[in-house]
Amino acid sequence: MSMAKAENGPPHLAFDRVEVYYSALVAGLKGVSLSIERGEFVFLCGQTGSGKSTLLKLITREVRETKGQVSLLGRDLGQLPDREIPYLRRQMGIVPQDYGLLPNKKVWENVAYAMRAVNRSKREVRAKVPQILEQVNIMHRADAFPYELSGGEQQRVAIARALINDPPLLIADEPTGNLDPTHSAEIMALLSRLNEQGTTIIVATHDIPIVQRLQQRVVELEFGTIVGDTAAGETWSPNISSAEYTTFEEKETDYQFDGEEFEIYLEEPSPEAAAEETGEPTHEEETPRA
Amino acid sequence: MLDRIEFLLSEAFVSLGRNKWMTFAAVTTCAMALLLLGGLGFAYMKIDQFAQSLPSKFEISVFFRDKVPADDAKRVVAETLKMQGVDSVRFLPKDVQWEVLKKEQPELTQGIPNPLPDSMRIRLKDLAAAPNVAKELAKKPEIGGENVKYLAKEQELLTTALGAVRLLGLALGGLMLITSGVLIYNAIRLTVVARRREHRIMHLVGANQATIALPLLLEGFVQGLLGGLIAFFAFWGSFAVVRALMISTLQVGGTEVFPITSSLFGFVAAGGVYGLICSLLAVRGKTLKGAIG
Ligand SMILES: Nc1ncnc2c1ncn2[C@@H]1O[C@H](COP(=O)(O)OP(=O)(O)OP(=O)(O)O)[C@@H](O)[C@H]1O
Ligand SMILES: [Mg+2]
Repeated sequence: MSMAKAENGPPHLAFDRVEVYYSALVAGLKGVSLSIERGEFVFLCGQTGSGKSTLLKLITREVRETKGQVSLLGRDLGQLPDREIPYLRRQMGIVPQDYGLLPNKKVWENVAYAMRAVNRSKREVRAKVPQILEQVNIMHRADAFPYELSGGEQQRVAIARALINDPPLLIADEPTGNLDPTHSAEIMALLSRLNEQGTTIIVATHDIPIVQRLQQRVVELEFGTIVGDTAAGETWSPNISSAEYTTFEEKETDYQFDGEEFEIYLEEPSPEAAAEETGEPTHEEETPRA
Repeated sequence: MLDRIEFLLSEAFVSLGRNKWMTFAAVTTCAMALLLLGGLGFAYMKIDQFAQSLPSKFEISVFFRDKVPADDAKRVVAETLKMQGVDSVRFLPKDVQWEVLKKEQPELTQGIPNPLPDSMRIRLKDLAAAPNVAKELAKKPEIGGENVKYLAKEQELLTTALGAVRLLGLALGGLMLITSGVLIYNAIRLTVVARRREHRIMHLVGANQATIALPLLLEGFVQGLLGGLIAFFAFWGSFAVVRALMISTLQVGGTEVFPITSSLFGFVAAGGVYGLICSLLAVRGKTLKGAIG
């Protein structure tokens, strides 16, 4: 189904000699050419600072290329006027690394709120929210607050929210970054299922075991360039030693607000949430649902 | 459409509720500013109207000394007419006035000789000429300084009072207006901070700029609007009090009608527009660029 689509029309995403310079000396990407077909599942791998997030931000138009061209379904994103960005983002689901759940809203409210924000009627919300929650297998926790959920459950809510626009493209930056292997496997199973239903999936990750097990396409970045592109079905092993992938501290990616410091207003995460995130015991088996 | 409006409103009211004290401070200072500027502006207008009506009423009364021959009195009248700033002169012979008085108060005037002097009423074209005219008349042997009466002192006082009211109103009102502006601006900025998570989600899922900005503008607008409403009621109240005072102490102003519609509209519109301007300044450029990652 997904591969059939790829035969006609422009690729879902095309990067043509893309360079991103954050300043004269700081490069995010240094000449990346890459084509992603509709229905593909692509892992972006690479050390910290290799440019994975930069590549994803080009797709969401958080960042604009300094040189080269990025196109989505043949449309040059660099030429897109700012006021079109909201409509661009409705064509994709974005799963942020920190989940980005609203702590004072229940699971279903988190999804409902996002739908209301894109002008969906209450009626549509009532019909669609349960459907999406079922889809990511979190319906039984619909009335829970985020701090009552495990990291994996929170991640599923974040994915649920990314599905509100029925996006043909799903982008996830380190979706398993904070999860133990069991929950990581669950999330990957969910993403695989969405991919089987035709959604193009792009995942930036450091999680080598997961990447190796899924046997999807792997694009490997280093210092802002592509150093490896392994097709789906082939066994991938990192170009760089795997130690380099794993021995780093997750950097804080909290919301930057125009460079102003608002840290003093930030609410502390509740102790429950903190406790749950640091690995709650799970009794479920590693059962990727296909 | 209605659904969308409901969402925007609920977003705005969540913030109004969250910043209760901030909202309260912003609304009350805004109300005070509007009351000062609007209420004192209204008072100034009324006093000014009153002052404007004075010059036509404004007259110099002059009493002749006893036993001034009629011919001399007539000569003085003629001379007065030629003075600068004089509009008209009316000569009032003592006999004529006495007859009038006898008719009005028969008991009081019965059986006594006419105590009234001859007099004249001078109407001025130009108020500023009053001191000069009075001085000239006082020099005349037929009249004498103590027999010239005019309202220069009262007029001066009124002018000073008007100036003071205007100055006070502008200074205090301006200060309050700036304060309330800062408070509204701050309330919106606090909201922007408090709701950065929600705004991020909105950016993330592709919400329009308007969906993010409108609740913020609405918040400032509602604060100004509430301020205007409170100012209106306070104005209504003080109007009633001042009117009651004027009727009981000065026996004037009983006919004044409170301009309900125009003042309600004026205060609320001024407050709303002001709140909107403050929130526009607070929002400008702030919600437009939000990182989502
Ligand atoms: N907003 C920014 N301003 C300046 N430099 C930036 C910015 N974002 C990223 N960079 C730089 O661009 C390079 C690529 O960063 P990027 O975030 O894309 O890497 P990454 O592969 O996602 O790393 P990680 O695995 O740690 O998330 C890094 O050198 C980084 O310091
Ligand atoms: Mg990154």
